[in-house]
Amino acid sequence: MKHPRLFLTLLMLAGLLTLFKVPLASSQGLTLMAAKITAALPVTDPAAAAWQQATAIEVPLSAQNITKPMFLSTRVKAITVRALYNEAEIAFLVEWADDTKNDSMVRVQDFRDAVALQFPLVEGQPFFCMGQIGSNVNLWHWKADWQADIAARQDMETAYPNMNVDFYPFAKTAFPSPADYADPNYVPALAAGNLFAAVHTSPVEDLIAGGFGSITSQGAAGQNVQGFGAWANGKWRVIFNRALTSKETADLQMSAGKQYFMALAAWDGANNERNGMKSTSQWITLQVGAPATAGPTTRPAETQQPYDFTGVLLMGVPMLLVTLAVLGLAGALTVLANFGNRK
Amino acid sequence: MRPLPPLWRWLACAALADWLITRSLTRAAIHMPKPAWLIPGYEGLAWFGQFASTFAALLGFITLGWLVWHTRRSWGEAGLWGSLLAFNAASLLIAPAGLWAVLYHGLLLLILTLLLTQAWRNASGWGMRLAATFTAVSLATGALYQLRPALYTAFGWLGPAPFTLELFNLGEASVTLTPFAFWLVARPPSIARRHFALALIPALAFTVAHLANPSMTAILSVWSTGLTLYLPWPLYALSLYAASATVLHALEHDFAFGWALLLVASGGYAPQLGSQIAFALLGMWLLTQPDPAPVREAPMRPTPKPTKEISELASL
Repeated sequence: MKHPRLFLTLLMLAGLLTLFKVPLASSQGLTLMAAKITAALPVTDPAAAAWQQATAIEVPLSAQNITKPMFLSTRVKAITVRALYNEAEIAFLVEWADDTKNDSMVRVQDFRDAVALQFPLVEGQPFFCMGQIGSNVNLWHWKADWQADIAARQDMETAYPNMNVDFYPFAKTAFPSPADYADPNYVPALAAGNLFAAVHTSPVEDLIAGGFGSITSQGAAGQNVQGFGAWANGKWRVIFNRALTSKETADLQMSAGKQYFMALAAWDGANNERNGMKSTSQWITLQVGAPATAGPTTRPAETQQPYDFTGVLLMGVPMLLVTLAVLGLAGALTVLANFGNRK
Repeated sequence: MRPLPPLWRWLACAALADWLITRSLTRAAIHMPKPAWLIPGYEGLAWFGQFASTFAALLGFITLGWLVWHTRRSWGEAGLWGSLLAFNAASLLIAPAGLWAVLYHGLLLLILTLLLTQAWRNASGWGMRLAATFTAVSLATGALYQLRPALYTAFGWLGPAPFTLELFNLGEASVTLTPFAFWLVARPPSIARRHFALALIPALAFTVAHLANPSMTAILSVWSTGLTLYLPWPLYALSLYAASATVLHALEHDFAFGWALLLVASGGYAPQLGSQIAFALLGMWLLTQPDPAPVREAPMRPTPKPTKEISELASL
């Protein structure tokens, strides 16, 4: 081999860089720019003109294939998302193609259409599928059946209008049905505060997770994400909205000028997709307005701070030194290589 | 033409290791059951893959620097390669966003245009011109696929950019057809039978995997190469067969386009990492050199006696 010393030097340098986890490659992923408006956010109108002020991006999805339950032939291949914010709130409009509207979970064989947004609660990008131990994620999960429940509560008689019950204790009507039981004493899940049994005030469930199998719904008092979804002409259009900041520590705190990471997931109920059987995206970057500081952050919103020189120095100086060293080495080795080739 | 430094072989081998180990094998291994005794081995393999990626990226920087020096007499060309080197170095600190992302992808398209022009000028036959065109179209569609959303974001246009999927599929079709163009350059009658036989291995492996589990094969293909396998699967199997046989033939005869194919393949389709983009462009540069171009100063084995097929190849 020609230039064995050079080869070994480069190998050693690469080994050191690997050992100290110094990256020599970077990528520019998808960036969602949230546009600022001064008016109230159009949180119940996907067709509002205000949404035209936001640039939409199309995020590719692929089947979740890391852990069971998995289903490799999921149907939702891409989601379009755009974002608006004002002084107090932020809203996301997500759209995806779905031939059928599946908004009922009454029968055990029925599954709902759904979409979810995921935000890391730590710096950087934890595992994109539900986070990992020590790196929790905040999830906003919109459900089509919860959306339908807000308009009209669904129960067994919705799916089976001619159903008949032989005997319901204490029912006062001639033909008793679950609707007779308005008294929570006879609806234990509702009495216990089970979110699935409760009267839904929002079609979005606010959750937290730290790895597979750890997803946990935030308490009833912590459900502060609102939503609205509508299906028409083979397409779902769903709006998520929440205040930029939240008192809940399990919620992502956002502020203007900052960058965050976000991932999306979608379920097609007609394809029996549920739980981990879903289409998911990789992390994309969410930029809330014009950038104010360098680098992504998920720190809680604070009062206006001076520019974070310390953070930039701690991160940037070592990388700058490595870059200069690599470029200097590249130049030196280039000259050496040319000298070696001259006859 | 003056022989290229051994840097190019090192780069191609390191990029190949990065592709096959880091982006293919370790990712596929996620789905393999791993008993406790196998996990240290898996972790070791993953670390080696990271090392290969780092080594390849380091060599990529150095090769770009070499290219800036090599083309220094042409200000424009040296400026383009120098800009790419600067962008890739700067992106280690701050990933290009907004208008910078637009400029970066625009720079890639400029470089590809330059390379295609040089390829047409230097190629001695229509076969290599066709092969270079397919390669350039494949890389350009990938760059456009990345550029368009960046453009919309930078200028605040309403999105999403239309025909995104169609553009992506066009590029994937071009990637699939490119090995056939190189196959023609290599002249099938001159390819040894043992190369045909060896090339069957990856093609059959893909065929078996696809027939056994098409969904998982497609997912692994996206992770490994960026291809979504939307075309009929036999096309991909044949393309893989043609590429393997061509690369084996070219490497044995030390033709530059063999190393070029390996580098371009290592970059993947519509790559997102700066290092992968560098591999693909450097591979494309090799294609612009007069063919055949030796990549080492002296052959390691006796120069094969010119045959009618090889002399015809030299006159392409």
